[in-house]
Amino acid sequence: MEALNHLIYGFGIVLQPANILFCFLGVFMGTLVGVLPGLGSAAAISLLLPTLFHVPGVSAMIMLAGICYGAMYGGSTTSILVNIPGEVASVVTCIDGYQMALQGRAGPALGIAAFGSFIAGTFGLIGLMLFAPLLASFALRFGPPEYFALAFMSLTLVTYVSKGSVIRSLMMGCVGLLMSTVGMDPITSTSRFTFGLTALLDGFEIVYVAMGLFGLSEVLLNLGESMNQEILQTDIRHLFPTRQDWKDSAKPIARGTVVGFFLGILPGFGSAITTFLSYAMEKKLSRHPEKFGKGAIEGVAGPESANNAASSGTFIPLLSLGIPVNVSSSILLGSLMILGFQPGPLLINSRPDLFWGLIASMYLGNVLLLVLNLPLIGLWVQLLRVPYSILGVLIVIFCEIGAFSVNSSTEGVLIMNLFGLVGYLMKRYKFEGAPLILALVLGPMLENSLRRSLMMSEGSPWIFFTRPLSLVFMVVSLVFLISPIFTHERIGKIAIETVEE
Amino acid sequence: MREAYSGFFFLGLAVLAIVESLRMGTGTMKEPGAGFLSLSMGLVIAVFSLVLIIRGWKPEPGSRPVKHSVTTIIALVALFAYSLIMDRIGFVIATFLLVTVLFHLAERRRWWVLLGMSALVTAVAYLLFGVVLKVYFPEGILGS
Repeated sequence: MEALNHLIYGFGIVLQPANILFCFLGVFMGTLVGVLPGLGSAAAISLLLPTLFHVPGVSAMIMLAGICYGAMYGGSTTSILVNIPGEVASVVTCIDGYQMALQGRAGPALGIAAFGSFIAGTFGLIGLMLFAPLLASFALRFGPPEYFALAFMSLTLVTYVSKGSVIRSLMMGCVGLLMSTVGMDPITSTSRFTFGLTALLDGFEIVYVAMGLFGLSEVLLNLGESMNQEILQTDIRHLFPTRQDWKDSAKPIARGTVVGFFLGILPGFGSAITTFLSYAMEKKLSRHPEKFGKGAIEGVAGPESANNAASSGTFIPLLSLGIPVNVSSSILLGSLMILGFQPGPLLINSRPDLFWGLIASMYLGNVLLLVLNLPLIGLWVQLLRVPYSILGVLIVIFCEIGAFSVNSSTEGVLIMNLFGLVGYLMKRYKFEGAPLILALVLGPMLENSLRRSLMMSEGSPWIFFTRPLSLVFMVVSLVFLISPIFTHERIGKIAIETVEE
Repeated sequence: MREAYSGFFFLGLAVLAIVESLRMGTGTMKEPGAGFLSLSMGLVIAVFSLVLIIRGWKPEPGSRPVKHSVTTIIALVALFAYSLIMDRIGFVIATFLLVTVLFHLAERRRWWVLLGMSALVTAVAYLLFGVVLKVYFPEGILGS
């Protein structure tokens, strides 16, 4: 009952005309980002954040969150119609979605993707509404050792679920932590790794890093390359799935929602890996696994529900603990801090307007997304006709201007370009960006709690193993850290290999 | 050799981190200093770099060295030049030049189409950010 009262309070906030507009703009931008290949939600949030500095914090967060979950809806459109995933989380949808489109069933594929996303998104929200306040009140008992162990576990899990080499992922995590030490030391006020540059005194701005690593680098990689953007010439009719389609999709949607939601809470899994796991699971459970890859609607319904439920799940640790679990939530955490909020277990109680306003905005956003993605599907199809040679240049220009507008300084543009180069090289040499950005965001918390824990224990690292909760986090971390030495089987790898088969 | 090159790069980064951390003071276990975490990370990165160097020393059969396209290199030079000259020549001219170079790299077009598209993108960007969102851009030579 209390949650319901809070939700009504949240609707009171989000139903103000300005907030409805921000919610609409967020989900609209999210769908756009999802539809357009080459621009992810992380880069889009970083790009738009500087334009929201003068907007009230809650409204700004309503819009930025809308981009995050909205992108999950839009990603399926390109996967089904062009066979190019607009988002990593929609890679799996290409397999059966595109086959359905080839068979003249683009309508039901798009329909079930949107309805599945809506159902999963709504259930995910109920979970978020119930679990986040519980977790936050539980986290009030956390001391520095628990926070250190939790941050350490998050980073370990991110490297464990990565699809590439463990060493490379761990290396990126360490580089991210090293980068997080740049700037003024909060305890001794010593300037670290600034090399006399005043722009580095506050450390690396997450906005520059994200725009460079995830926006600019992607365009640099594809510039001058022709991209197959041939849209399937098919009538998009019968968007409302048939009774048989619903019958085939009901269980995959239910399973996708549960798996997606709970895995979304865990660091590293995020939306992308949950879709791979959901697809692999549906194929294993199906009575007709041979249909998968040839246009099985279950192969669209399960993963599309999973990525939306995961998208809601990621907000639980973000809003209740201040812990991001993937790239987009890392940028959202950075945005919260830039907009003047203090993430952590006190956030829900100290800023109920933000938490309940966000929750209510997500209910509204899910309805808006259903409208945007079904009746207006033709609009997004037209947008897909914009050639990448134009789109890529526009993304670069928006990144450059976005970086300039953060501090009205060309130093920011230079730093962002530098991270664009770094991101490009990382992609060419097969280093993943997720562990780096997560470590960069979690770094200050990890360092602070590590130093305070060691001071508390007078230098004994055993403090992390003598307190029950931190012991659990540390044991989990060590298991995931050590297990790749003994086995090459890792969740990210296994799921991807199953899908590739 | 791809792994070895990455390994050498990160080894350099690790050495830099270790030297700087020692300079700023790492403190003790009882009272960790400003360089405590960076020193630890420097040491771990150094170990991982050595693993990469050893692993990459023997080239795997079928592995090819990474090649960078001329288009990407020119685009990168243009981007860095943009950030360095914008203050001097102003936002409008710098952006017009950058957009022209990028459009040209992305696809060969007739010169008047190229210049027209670049002018349009620059104008829209200026109107959206400079006029609507009130971002203060350097005027450069157009302002004097």
